[in-house]
Amino acid sequence: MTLLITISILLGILVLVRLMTIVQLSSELTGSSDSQEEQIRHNNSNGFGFIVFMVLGLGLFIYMTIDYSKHLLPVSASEHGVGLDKLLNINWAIIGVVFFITQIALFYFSYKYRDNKKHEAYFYPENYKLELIWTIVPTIVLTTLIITGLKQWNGIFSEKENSMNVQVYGYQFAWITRYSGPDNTLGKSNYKLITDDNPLGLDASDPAVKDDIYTTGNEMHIPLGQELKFQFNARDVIHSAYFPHFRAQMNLVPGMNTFFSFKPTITTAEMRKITGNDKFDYVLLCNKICGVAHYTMKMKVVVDTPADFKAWLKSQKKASEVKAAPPVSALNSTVKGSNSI
Amino acid sequence: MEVKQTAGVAVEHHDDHTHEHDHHETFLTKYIFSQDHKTIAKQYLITAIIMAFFGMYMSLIFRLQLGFPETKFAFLESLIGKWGKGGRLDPGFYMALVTIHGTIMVFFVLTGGLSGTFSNLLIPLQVGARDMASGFLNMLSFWFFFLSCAVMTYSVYIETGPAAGGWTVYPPLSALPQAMPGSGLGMTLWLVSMVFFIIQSLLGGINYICTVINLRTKGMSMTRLPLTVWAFFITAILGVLTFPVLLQRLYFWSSTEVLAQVFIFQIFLLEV
Repeated sequence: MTLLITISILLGILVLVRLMTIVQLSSELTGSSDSQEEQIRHNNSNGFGFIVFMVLGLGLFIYMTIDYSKHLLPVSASEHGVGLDKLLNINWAIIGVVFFITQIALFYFSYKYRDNKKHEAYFYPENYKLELIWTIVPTIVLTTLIITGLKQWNGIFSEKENSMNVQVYGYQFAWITRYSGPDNTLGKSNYKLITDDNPLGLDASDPAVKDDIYTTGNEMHIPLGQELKFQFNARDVIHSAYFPHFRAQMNLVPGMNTFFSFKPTITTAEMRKITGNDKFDYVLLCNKICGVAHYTMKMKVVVDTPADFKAWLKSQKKASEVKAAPPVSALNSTVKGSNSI
Repeated sequence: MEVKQTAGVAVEHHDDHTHEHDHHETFLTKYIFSQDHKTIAKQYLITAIIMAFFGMYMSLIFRLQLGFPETKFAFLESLIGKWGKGGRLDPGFYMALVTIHGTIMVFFVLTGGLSGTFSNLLIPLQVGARDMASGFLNMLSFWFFFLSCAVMTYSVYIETGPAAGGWTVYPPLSALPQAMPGSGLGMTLWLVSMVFFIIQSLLGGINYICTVINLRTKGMSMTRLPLTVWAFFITAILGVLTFPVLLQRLYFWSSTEVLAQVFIFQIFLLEV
């Protein structure tokens, strides 16, 4: 069977080679048949084709933009997101206008200045004034856009007052959220203390750990109108915490603390009304390939009123229930002794 | 206009030159281990197109799964065996396909295929050189490319599957076999393939730079070079500047993987 397939493939290649030789020979025998009349006919049909392609392409572009806009994210549910959306829209507007101008010019000029009896090709190598204009104008526009973007970025990453410290902890393939409690300090943790009962590796000897609270289910709540400072940590590989509706994303790198702050401005209930979808939920997704079940790494996010948030927090696991483990210094010696991974 | 004529004369001369040699070249030296820049350009083109089809075929499979997650495609099981049991793509193999598709498209088609084909074909023609600065290095460069393609293709067919951590291969996901099955032998083969790829890219890049700087025809000053040649030239410089760093890193990593993770990770685990 394999032999048959191999032979047929080889024969197929042979046939192709012979065909190509025949085509080549025949074209050599007939000689070049491209008379000037024929050239012009070619140019006319190609020029017309350019116009058809332009109309079709731009038409499809407009249709798709309108038709697919229903799949866009709803309004931003965070304070900084409004500014980001505005910036993105300005970008889109500028790019859109330039796109239409350049595409129309490209295709229309190809049609209009095609080679025929009326026109001849005109060699026009340089025009410094024109080149200066099309270099300086985009430079100014792009610099303005970049500076506005930088200002937004600095605003997002500036230190905020009265923010609540929350940890988002990722591992293959789920999330845990830890709230810092009344002292607003996330207690110490150490990966060597991780057990089934202590998934975050919390160090019970640290007094700041006592009032911490962490989630055990696949759902986290955040209070409306409260500035939140998220600290991101990963247990195993690089993950990326993506809150699409809050316009926030940050990588989780094992052994590093990364941060992102935002303030939720729309509760889940209000957002359900805005989107007209009573099953709508905010989500936290992993946005970096992190292993085989990466696609399942997803957590439901609920924005509550502060009162509801307090009530919900009571139902979550208290860090004070974590049993005090042996001190880390004692653990170090045992871990150092074993070489196995 | 003057420049164009000089270049044209040089090109014609070049054709005569190769024609002279046709008579005492064997099939092997003319088509397989050729040192002629046009033949090497064609070799690059054909290899890259084959790789592009391979990559496209992968994207077809995983996009079918993405587009119709509920549908069962019975042909998948006969096509890819245990990775498509019951007509559903295995989630791990989905990742592997995404990774290898990305690698092939970025490295073998866009980097190797385009630069290898068009730099080889156009640089000597457009600067008015007879051939590349070193035909032998050029031939070596293509065969390292071929070797790299062969290893990458082979890695798809191993039992634990190819590298699956995304084409950016961020460690520790891509470095520890415990993190995902593809990070074992599959990743090692990926690294070996990339080491070959970078070697070809360096050999090619040095050749392009030398040709543009040293072998321009009379009257072809740097400011008169066509924009295409400037683009190839800058691409080659960037490649030569960045790839050695990557090569050193990949070489260290792949030797670590090959030597059963003796160096980095053991030391890392002991010291933390």
